[in-house]
Amino acid sequence: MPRPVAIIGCGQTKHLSRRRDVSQPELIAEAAWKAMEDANVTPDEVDAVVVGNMQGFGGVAQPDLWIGDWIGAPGKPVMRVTTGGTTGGTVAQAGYYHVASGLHNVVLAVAWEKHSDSKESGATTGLGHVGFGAQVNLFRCGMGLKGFIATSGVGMAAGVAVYQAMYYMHRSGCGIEHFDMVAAKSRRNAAKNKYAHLQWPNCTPEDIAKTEMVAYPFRYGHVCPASDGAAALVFADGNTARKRVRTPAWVKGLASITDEENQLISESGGGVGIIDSSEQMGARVAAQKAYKMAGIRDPQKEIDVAELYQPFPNQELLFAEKLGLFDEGKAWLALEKGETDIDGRLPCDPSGGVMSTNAIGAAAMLRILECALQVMGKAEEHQVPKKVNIAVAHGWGGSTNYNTVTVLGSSPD
Amino acid sequence: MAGTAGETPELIKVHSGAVEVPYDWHCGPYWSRFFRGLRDEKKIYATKCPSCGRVYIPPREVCGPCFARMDEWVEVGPEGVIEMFTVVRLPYTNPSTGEPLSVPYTDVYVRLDGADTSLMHWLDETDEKKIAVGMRVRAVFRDKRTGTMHDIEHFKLI
Repeated sequence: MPRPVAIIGCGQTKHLSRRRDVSQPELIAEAAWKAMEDANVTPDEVDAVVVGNMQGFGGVAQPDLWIGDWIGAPGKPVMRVTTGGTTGGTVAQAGYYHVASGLHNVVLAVAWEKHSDSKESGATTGLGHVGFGAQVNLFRCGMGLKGFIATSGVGMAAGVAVYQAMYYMHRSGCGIEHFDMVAAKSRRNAAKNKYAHLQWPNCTPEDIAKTEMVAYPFRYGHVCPASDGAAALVFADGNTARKRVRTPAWVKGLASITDEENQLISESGGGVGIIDSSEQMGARVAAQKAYKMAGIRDPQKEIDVAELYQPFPNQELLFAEKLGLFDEGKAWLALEKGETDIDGRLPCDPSGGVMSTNAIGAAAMLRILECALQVMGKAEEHQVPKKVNIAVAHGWGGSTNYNTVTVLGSSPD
Repeated sequence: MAGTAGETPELIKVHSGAVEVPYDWHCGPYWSRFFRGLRDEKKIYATKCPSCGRVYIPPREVCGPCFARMDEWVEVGPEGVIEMFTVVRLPYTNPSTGEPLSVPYTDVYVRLDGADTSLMHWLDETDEKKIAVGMRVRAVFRDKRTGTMHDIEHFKLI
């Protein structure tokens, strides 16, 4: 058995489309310093560091060359991990393994993205940065100013998720109006989270329904932004955790599974959909393994809050089902009843989720960070109004096949 | 860290220009046979798993679930059914060419007759009200074919 490990410190930056006020290492340092302060540890006390962002994003191929001395890591073991959209989840899980193995007592895990420094054409992510890089072409295509502003604000195209959404609708019987509901809920929750990017107090599904269709069934209002931002977590062994903070968030279970069965290349390359891209068996298997490790028998009853990786609204619904929080094809019925609202029976994405804040490398770590805040009772305005004993965080990405599931709890037992 | 009270000092941006990333994809024996079939015969070839019988399009060497090597070739299509679709209305740059894609256009997943996996391609109908999952389609080949995915120009409703 691994030894007990807890998250004892959380740090994140304000997320915006363009953090032009700081350089990339300054952005990363902002989150790292906040996490160490929160954990009540000094950089000298950190034994090892794990870092990561999406490979090549931000215009820098190897940021690990120059961030070491910005985050208290010179002369210490540093590991860089990069698994596409899941990076933040994998970086955090690697932080856990460093401590659980007994090799290190205090480990800092940092994940980030600074999209706005580069103009990469993220063909698979299909986000706002594509728009910035291609604005001349957009106007040549006849896009008007209104569309351009909307694109700058909420992102671009639809990537792979649009097909996944179609499969999910076909399979579950939900409609576009349910995507409007998820999007509105995410924007409302984000308005309570001072670090979140797209904030819209009192946003209603009707507000989202008024936005233009991008690619059926997605409207502008269904699309995540491209954010600049960073997140950091401090992991510690049980003895250190108890000494440093009052309420550590204990890591109770975790798993990371890849699933080959939905490989996409995009229509321009002649892509492949081996099977229904909403099946996501990797998420289901990862959840089952993480729950077993955490001693969870009935996730529908035992889990108090969930942070799901949902850059697009169908993903909150389908991943909630894959993580066993609702029966297959039934998450949209719970959504209709308000069960997934911040004050509902099983709140989903009280932070506002990836739909509202998407610094890609950091996004999957932010799910774990939010769960840690909820367990520690430090989520401020977006704290769910009930005792949180068990929280589950999910990450999705790689290309479209990499899932992480991490279970946090208020007690190590 | 960067901001101070009072007057905000100018923040400098250093610009670096565009980077070209030349890239060749060497397709290997399986994709090469697939592309040769499109180019030389206007036929679509797939591989079949000797263990589970699943037919993969595009063809590949290994069946993941069985971890079995596939060396049986079968012809699939050129007709099939629409498994999923979307109509893209937002213009953006084709990442393969750097040229703008004109909209609207329709992406489809086609389950070709005889195949167990689906192929992503284009459909020549852009009114989503006229398209439904389960409709039958047929591949339209180009006259001038060069050994790429786009030797199939698009699929059309039948």
